Amino acid sequence: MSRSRLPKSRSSAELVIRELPDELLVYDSTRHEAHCLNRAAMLVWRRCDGATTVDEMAAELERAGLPREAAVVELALDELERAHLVELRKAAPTDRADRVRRSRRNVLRQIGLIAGAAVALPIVQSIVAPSVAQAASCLGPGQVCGVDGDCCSNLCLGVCV
Amino acid sequence: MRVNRPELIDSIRAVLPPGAREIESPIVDRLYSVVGGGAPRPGVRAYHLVYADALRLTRTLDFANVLNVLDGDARLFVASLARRRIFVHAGVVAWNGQAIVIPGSSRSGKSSLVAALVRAGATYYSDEYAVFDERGRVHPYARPLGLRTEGSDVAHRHPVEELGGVAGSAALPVGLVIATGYRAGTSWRPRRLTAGQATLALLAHTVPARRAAARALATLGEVAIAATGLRGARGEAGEAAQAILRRLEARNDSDMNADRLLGDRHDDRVRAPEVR
Repeated sequence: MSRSRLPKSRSSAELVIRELPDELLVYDSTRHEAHCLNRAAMLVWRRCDGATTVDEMAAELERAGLPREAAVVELALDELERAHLVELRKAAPTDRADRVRRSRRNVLRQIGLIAGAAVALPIVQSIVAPSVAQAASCLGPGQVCGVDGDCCSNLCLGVCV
Repeated sequence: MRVNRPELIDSIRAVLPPGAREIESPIVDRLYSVVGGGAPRPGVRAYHLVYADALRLTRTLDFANVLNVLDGDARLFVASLARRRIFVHAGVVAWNGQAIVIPGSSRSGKSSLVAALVRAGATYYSDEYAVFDERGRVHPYARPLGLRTEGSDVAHRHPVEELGGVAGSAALPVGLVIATGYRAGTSWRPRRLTAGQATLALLAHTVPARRAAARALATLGEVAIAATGLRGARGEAGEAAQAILRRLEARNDSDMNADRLLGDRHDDRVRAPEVR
């Protein structure tokens, strides 16, 4: 196993979790990021308890009808680590080469280009949650603006009036 | 809301957020104070002042600016602090008893698409906020539509009746969530979003996304599970509006038939929505 230690998910106190059919939404209230984990990523993340090995995670995938491949688990862990949902693992010297080998395309090739194989790959999609000003349709008084139309008041003098 | 000159109150009432009504309450969440400048006198500038609590929002000689500032600040305050609703920056129309929600940032072409849908016969709900309750139903927020003329940065407000449409009044379940933006010369060929992807598309434009993350995820998840999520650039608004209404009708017949007939592609590699 290329991992230097067993993966462990972040403290749940910092995370808001919403289950959907075959997906998991996770909101990181520290970083203000929201993540959508597909089924494969969700199954792996749930076993990131600091005690489960990659092989055991692969077996979990198989029980859910997904390919039993360590490469798929490693790909999921890469995605989860990028999303800051698992605690950082100690980087091994070979990590970069490992990651290249674990590219989505290579893993697909490894598990065979069977129909639906892409769906079986772990995906973590992320957004930065907007602040009130970012989500608002127009900028409030005192906020920096470019043109009149940026402002709720339709009047921009460098900042909205 | 308090004023120093009673004659100002009627014009201020006209710019309060949709659904605003007078209530008696011992709790004041935000106190607006408008100090009208009075008649100009030689050598004296009669400024109008607007305060929100102790913060001065504006000092201006033009009373129209007072109304614009109050309008913008009150809407944003309600959208960010509403306790039982989640406000998402989006356009909303209704068709056959279901809502079509189009989340998007300013200048993404939401209002022109909403106007095109209204011209095509949809009922107008909002061109600014989708207002969701905890069951995932969307409530009307029918301000006059803000439409920009080509080459202009300033949006002018048009009552929906000017477009030959009507505004809805009842809360509705959501049928479609459409993440789209204008791209010249494009035909609308959307990809299907999973419920999780549709939730992210809504959350990316949710006003209290940070302040009320748990409530927003719960509510928007309900919306996304019940609705069909679609993502893709669109061309001209009129053409896209027709395609969207066809899509909702096909969904009502059968989701599976809609997939087959309309050639849906599931978007399993969709990129996360960009947040500016």
